[in-house]
Amino acid sequence: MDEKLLRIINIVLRNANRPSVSQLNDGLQLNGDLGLDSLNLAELSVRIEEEFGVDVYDNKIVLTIGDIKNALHGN
Amino acid sequence: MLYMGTDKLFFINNEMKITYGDLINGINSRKEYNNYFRTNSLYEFVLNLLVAIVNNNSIKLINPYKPISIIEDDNSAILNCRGSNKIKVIDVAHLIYLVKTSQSEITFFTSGSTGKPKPVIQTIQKLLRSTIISEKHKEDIWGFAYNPAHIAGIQVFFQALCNHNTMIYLYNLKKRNEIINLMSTMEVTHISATPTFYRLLLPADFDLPRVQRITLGGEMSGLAIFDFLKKAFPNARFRNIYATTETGSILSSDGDIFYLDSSNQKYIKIQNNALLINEALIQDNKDCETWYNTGDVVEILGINPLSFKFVGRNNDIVNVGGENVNLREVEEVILQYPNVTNARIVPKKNNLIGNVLIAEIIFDNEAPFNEYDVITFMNRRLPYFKVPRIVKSVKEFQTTYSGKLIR
Repeated sequence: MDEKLLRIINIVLRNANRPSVSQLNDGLQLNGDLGLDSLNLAELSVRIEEEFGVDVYDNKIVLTIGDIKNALHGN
Repeated sequence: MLYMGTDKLFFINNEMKITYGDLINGINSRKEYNNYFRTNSLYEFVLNLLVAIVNNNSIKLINPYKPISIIEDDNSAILNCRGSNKIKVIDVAHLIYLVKTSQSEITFFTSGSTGKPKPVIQTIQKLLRSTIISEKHKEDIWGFAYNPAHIAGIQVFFQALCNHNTMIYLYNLKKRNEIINLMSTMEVTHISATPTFYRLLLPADFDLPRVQRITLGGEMSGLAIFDFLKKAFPNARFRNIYATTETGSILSSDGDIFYLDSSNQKYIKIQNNALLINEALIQDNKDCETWYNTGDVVEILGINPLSFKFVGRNNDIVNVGGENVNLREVEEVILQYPNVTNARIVPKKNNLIGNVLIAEIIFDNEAPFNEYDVITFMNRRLPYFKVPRIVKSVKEFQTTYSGKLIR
């Protein structure tokens, strides 16, 4: 799962003209550290849903990579 | 002339060549017709239609490319609706006379973009109002590019038949070069089609100087398509038709700008950028107070005379992060990207920003595709919130009952 999530994050970063990342730490902030704005995050949520079948923002607050992983694990 | 002419070709469909003589023999050999008819064979479709019309009986046209279950739950009712053929057609002139004086009604089914397709009944007489019959048109050769069960297809059919013209069936052809070669070798002079059909012919690396008239209808036409058409058909005049299944043709223009003047302002008006038509156009009642919203959104360009262009459907406007986006506007920009033959924007509901825009693109000849390059291209031409976040290459689009794109 981590590999797929890393690939998706880097697609969104590239489309946003931001530098790619080589690994995903749970504490990494999507907005603060990666610089993703609301449109980028919306894109991220659709790409994750297409890959994993889960809308990570469905009734959840998602601020970090750890939050995404928790949502994907159903927590 | 029309008392002869049975050797003249009526239509060409792939390898099948049918003359007017074949057509008349075919009609006369039919013992009955089915007034709820569906077939993949164009010739069977036409024969059944004409047998019903010359007998002054009504018929329901069902899209042969969609399942019957979309419009009717009970298939057996459809199969049992038959009438007998009591007419013998003598010659071409007799056939045209019977069509022109027919009291038949034709039921069409609307696109069904918001639910089950609705039946719309039109008399032959009303459908023939836009038909121009004259000596000038007797040698026209039509590129037939509409679904024959669609109102626009039937209007082209009547125009060609009543002028004793030949029709070249292009609707079922998907390969660009095949369509262009056929139009060239058969010396097509008139084409009426949707912008989607014309886009199939892009780019303008050919020209067909014999084509005299290009008609567009069924969908909104952007300026880009006219630039292409002028290059590919250098001697053609252009007509852009605005029509609905309920009314037939309402407005026409030689480009993407339409005008309202004293002749049509009684029945057509613009309110809050929505195009409204008077119920009188639908009911044939001259004193109607009811106005019907077509769902088409326009942008007013000038007054006296009132000029406007179509910018989309009311359900083409979606909210992205608090901003309104016209999906048609975004599609027009994508169509300018190299090797794109068609594009649609599908809005996906999203908890963060309302809608995420997803672009689906059909590329010419499966050209290499890079999502980042398309997004960069869009970023240079559109405000940030209008740029699709996800871009996909697809082979075809899902369409409604009458062939319009589904978002």
